[in-house]
Amino acid sequence: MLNIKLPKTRYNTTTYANLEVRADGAPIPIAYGDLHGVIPICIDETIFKYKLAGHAIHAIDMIKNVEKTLVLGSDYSVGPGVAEFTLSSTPYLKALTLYYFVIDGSYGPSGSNYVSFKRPGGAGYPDGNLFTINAGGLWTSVPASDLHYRISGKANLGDQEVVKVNTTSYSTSLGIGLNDDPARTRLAQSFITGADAYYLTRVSLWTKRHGNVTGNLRITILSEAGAPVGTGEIRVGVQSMLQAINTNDVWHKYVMYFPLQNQEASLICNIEGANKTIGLPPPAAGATIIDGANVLEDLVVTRLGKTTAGLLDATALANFKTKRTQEIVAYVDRDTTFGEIVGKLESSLLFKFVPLHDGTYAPTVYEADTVEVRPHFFDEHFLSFSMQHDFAAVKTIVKVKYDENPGNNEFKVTEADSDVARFVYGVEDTLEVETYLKTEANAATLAADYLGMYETPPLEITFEIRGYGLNLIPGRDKVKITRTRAAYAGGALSGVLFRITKITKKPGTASTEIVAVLDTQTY
Amino acid sequence: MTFNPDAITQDLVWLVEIEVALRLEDVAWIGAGSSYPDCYYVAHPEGKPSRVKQCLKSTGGIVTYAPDMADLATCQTTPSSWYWDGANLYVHTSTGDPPDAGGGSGSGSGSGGGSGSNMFLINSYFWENISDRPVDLFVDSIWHPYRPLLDPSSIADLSFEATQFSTGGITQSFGSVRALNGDGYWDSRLAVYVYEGKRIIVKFGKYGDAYADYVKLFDGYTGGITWRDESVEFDIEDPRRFQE
Repeated sequence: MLNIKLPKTRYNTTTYANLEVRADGAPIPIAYGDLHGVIPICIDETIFKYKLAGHAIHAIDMIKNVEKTLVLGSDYSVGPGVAEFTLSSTPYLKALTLYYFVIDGSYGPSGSNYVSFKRPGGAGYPDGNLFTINAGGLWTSVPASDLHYRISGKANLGDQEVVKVNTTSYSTSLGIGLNDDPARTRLAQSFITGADAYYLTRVSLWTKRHGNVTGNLRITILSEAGAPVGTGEIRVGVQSMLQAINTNDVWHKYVMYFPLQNQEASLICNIEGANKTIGLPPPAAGATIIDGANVLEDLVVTRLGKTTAGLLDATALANFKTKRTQEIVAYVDRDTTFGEIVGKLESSLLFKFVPLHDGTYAPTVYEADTVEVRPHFFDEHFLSFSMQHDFAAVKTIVKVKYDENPGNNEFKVTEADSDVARFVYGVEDTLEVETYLKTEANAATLAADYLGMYETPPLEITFEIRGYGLNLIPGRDKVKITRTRAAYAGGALSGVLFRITKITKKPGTASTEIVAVLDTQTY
Repeated sequence: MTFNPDAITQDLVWLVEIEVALRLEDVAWIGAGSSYPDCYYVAHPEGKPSRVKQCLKSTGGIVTYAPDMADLATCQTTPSSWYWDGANLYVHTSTGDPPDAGGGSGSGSGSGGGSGSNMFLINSYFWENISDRPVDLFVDSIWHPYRPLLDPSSIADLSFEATQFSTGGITQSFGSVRALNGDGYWDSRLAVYVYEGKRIIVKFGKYGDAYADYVKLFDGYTGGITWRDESVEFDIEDPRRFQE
C-alpha cells in the first residue's frame, strides 16, 4: 500500500483539449488545509477555465493577479466542486469579424416596468443590425435598425482606449423595450471589427427606465459561424458583464465596462482543500480537513479507494486524532507515494504508522505508559547485550520547514538551537525536518521536541534473547530492562523502559535480536 | 633514551588519552565564603582539571576559563577563572553568579541532557589515561597512572586521502579504540562523564621511556560508544565535525 503513487490523475490534452502546454502530463494535485499561493492550471485556454485540484475542495478564498484581488461574480465564476474557476476575461475581438452583443435584464417580463434602449429612426450602423430574441431563443432581425451604441477597445491591455465602433449621426430617435414583451426577452446588435484586432473594454448604450424596474442588465459578446444566431452561440470572453440598471427615466448614457484581464500567467489562489466526507470527527462533514488523522483517513478512503475497516486500527487512529491536533496543509502536486506522504506526516506529528501482524496499520503516538510494560527482561534472559551512545545522531540545530508555498515550493522555517549539543559535544550538526505543519507555533514546538531527543546521544541497546520475539512490534512496543551491569547511572539498569526500533527473528538459532532506544529519547 | 619509532621492539607501550568532560551546572556548588563572594567550589575527585569552560545560555557565548589561578584571592578578582586547591574546584563565572544559578533540572546522568533553566552550562575536563600495560608517567610535574585497559589490537587503520581533480576535498576514515571492561570500570563512568566528542590521543613508545619520548600516532575526537560487559569501544570521529 505504501508504494501506491499519488496523485492518481494527470492533466492531458485528451481530457482537457485546450490545456495550457506547461501542464500537459503534470499530476492533478491533492489539496488539504488552508493553502496560500496555489498556482492554478488553465485547463481550457479558449474560455480561461482553471483547475486547482483533482477533487472537490471546500472553498476558493482568494484569487489575485499582479494588480488586484479578483472579485467573485464580476471577475470570475466558480465551477464544479469549487476546484475549478473561470475568468471573466476581456473579450478579444479578431479583425474584420462579425460579432454580436446581447443584452438581457434580470427583471421579469412586464409591459410597464422595463428598460428601453435608444435607437436611430433608421439604420445607424451600416455593417450591423438589431435583433430581438424571444423566450424560445429565436432571433428575429429588426429591418434597417440598429441600437445607438459605441464600442471602445484597446489593441493591448496597457494601451490607450479608443472608440472602435460608433453609431452614425441621425436626426430622429426611437426606443426599443427589453423584456417588455415575450418577443423581446433579449436584444442583440451585430457589428464588424476593423482592420485590427482589439480587446473590447466597454460598450456604451443609451437607456431609459420605465416604471419601477430594478435589477441588472447584462451584456454578452458573442461570435457565431453563421446567421441566424441560436444554439451555436459562442461567447467571447467568458463571463457576461452584469451591471445595475440605470435609474434615469430619460435617455441617459449607460456604460458597461469589461474587466481588463486576459489569460493570466500570474494568478495565485488561496484555497481550502478537501472536505471531510468520511470518518473521524471533527471537523464536521463538509468542512475543510485540517488535521493529520482525517488527512490519513481521507487519503486511504478517497484517494486510494480503500476502506479504513481492516486497514487502519480504529483505536490507534482515534487516539492519534485526539493527541495530534496540529493544523496541517498539504498540496501534493508532484509524483509521490502514499508512503512518502505518510512519512512526512510522521515527521510533522511525531507518530509512527506501524504495520501490525493482522495486516492493519496503527498510527501510533508516543505516550508514557499507564500500565505495566511487557516483557521485562532480566540478566538471565540475555544471550548477548550491548549499549550504544549514538553520537552521529547528536544535533545542535533543528530546522523545521513548514507551510510550504504551493506556488514556489518554498517553506517557512523555524529553528531550535541547543547550547548543550554545541557546548558539551562541540558539534554544529543540523537536522532538517520537512513537514506539513501550518503554523509557526506548532513548528517551533516540534523543533524543540526533536532537539529534546537529539541534543544528547540517544542511548540504544541491542540484545538477543531466546524465542521469537513474541508479538512485539517495532515502533509501538516497549521493553523493560533490568541488568546488574550497564553503562547507565549507577552502573546498572533497573526496570528502565526502552522502545523497540528493530526486531530480527532468527529461526536458525531460535532467538531474536532486539534493538531499542531509551524510551524518553523516542517518539 | 629517545625513542626511535623505526626500531620497533617487543617493549612497545600504547597509550590512549581521552579528555573527558564532567557537566557541573547541576551539582550543588558551595560559596567560598565572604572573603571570596564571587567564588564557588565543588569537590572534584577527578583531580586537577585540564580545562574548565562555561557557556552563558542567554547569549550562547562560550568561554574557556583562565586556568588554575595562583590562589583563591586571584580567582576572586578574575572573572572567568578557576582555582584548584588539591581537592576542590573553585570557579568564578563570567558574571559572578553561582555556577548553578537558575536552578536547573538535570537528569543526573552525565551524558543525558539536563541543564533545564540553568543560567550556565559548565564543564570541567580531565584526562582519562589508559595503556596496554601498567605504566606511570611523569606529565606536567605529576605522576599519572595509566590503567592497563587498552586492547592495542583494536586500534584500527586510520587513513587520510586527498582526492584529485573534480571531486576535490579530503577523505578520511577512522577506526575505533577498544578498552577492556571486565571489571566494570566503565559502567557508571560512561553515564557520569561525557566521553563522546572529546579529544583522544593515541601514542606509543618504549617501555621505560619518559613521557616526552612517546610518539603521537593520532590526535582526534571520539564519536559514538559501544558498551559491552567485557569491553567498551570508542569510535573515532572525523575531526572536521567539531568546532573547537
